[in-house]
Amino acid sequence: MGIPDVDLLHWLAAFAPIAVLLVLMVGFNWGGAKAGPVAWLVALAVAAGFYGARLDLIAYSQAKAGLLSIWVLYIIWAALFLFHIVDLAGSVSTIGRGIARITENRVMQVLLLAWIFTTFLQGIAGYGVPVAVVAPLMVGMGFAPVTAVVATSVGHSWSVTFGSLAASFFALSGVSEIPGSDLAFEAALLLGIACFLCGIGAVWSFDGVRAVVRAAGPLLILGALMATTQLLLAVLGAYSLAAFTAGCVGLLGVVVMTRLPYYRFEPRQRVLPPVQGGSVDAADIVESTTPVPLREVALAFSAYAILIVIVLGSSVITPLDDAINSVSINLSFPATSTTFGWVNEATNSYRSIEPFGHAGAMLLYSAFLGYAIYRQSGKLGRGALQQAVSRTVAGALTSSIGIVTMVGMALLMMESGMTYLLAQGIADVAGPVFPLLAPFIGVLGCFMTGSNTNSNILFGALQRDTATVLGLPKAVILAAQTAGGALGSMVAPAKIIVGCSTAGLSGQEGPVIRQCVRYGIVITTIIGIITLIWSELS
Amino acid sequence: MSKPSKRTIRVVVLIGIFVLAFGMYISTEAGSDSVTAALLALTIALMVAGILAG
Repeated sequence: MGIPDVDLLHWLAAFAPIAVLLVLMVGFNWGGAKAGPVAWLVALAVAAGFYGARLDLIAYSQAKAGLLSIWVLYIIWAALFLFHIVDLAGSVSTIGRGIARITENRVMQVLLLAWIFTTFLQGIAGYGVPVAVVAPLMVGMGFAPVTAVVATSVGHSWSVTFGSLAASFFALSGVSEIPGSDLAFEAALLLGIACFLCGIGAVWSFDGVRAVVRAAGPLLILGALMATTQLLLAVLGAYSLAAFTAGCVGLLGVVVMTRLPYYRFEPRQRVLPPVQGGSVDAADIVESTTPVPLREVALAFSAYAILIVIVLGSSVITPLDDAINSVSINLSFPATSTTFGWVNEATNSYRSIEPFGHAGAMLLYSAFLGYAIYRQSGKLGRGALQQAVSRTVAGALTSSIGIVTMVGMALLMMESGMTYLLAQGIADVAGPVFPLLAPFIGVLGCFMTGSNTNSNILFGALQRDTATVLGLPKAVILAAQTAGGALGSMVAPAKIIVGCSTAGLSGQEGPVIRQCVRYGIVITTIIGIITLIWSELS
Repeated sequence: MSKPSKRTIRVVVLIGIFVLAFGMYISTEAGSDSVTAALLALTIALMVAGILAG
């Protein structure tokens, strides 16, 4: 197979970089910028010392990591820049008060923003945009920064597979060589169950079980609406629109539900959880007696509306899509191998970057057009652009080091066969209870790479082969893989760092990771149990 | 000479990682193992600097 013997020593060695990262970030509250380089050094030592990684393999893996990092950081820096333009125009506060117009009920606001609006954004943009955009918005509305990042990270993750125009689903189908039509029902059903669980998690992170009880009705009704919409569209073959349409249906549903006074107003007798940070005081939003004119809300939201139009336009209008993607930065890589014979195939294009068609470019277009609109309407003064740039650099610099080093670590582990051995070890030990662990392998892939798509590429074939060997239903196991990969978004350090950097929590990722891991373990375990029962019944 | 600020070190670390990663790509493509090894050693030093500045 090209990897060392799957024994405890090699498994622990492969796990060492992840363990170091977790211990430093969760146990010692180190930020990603400090823990990332340590984990990178451990990964390098293990890859060279235990897995026979040669110099050329290390060099090429780090160049691939460089490309992948640019690809990710483009989104982060652009999302932050867009946010600061919007914030400097005072629009975050206006949007917050506008949402308070839809519902003053804080629990419903969490559902609307962290669960449904993020799903909508994941459907059209993805790649970390939902958390990067919504978390600071929630902070601006007076939610605690940790709650904002945790709720959005947990809330949107169910929609990742069919989000981003279903890139992850296509990757799963491609790498497993099983047609999408044979996987869609199983994947959409498991992700539909995850939809309810992620909604519960998002609300729970705000105010525990009391909030879940209060939101029980909307959770059930809106969850059923979104999960069914995604399932129907996936089964009909409209994979690319499944999560986006689910988000639209959810938004319509929440507008209708909040016509009911119970879901529109905040119960007066309850004391809300303490609110910290943010540019707007929560009390101002809830208690405000001056209604915000709809025109003001629309103007404030215009930068995000432009983003939606640009992303939809580029995916629907083929000539536009072709034009903005005509310039592409590519590097080709030759095959590399370890001394054990683990081979990384040659590729002519690894994570090509289209400077004008990339998700980050779309965020930048929205930021500049939004700037023009705000400037025209007198919301922004002179020097706002420089101020936004300066705030973006200050906010993104530290987290960027964390991301670059973690991507470098992940690539070292993947290219030296360490990640594959980790998954193989889990499969060997699990045997008949493998279905229980199948989604955790998906989580592992996403944890390492920060991407559901990469997780599916990394482990899709392994999951299919293990299912074949153990006589398990392949579609169910692959559905568990992609569900795990999607849920892994909530625990992936690279994504958490993105959320933290936009919510003003740079260098304080530890508490967020702790909470997200808790929700991730519970939700993934439930998905694993369902996969186990489903496999037994098939 | 005054010590560089943490922010300066972070900028150097971030840019340095990219420069060294693509430098290793070029030197490996050119078949120059000694240059690649030297660049890898520099990357390790940069990571240590990153830890100290973190």
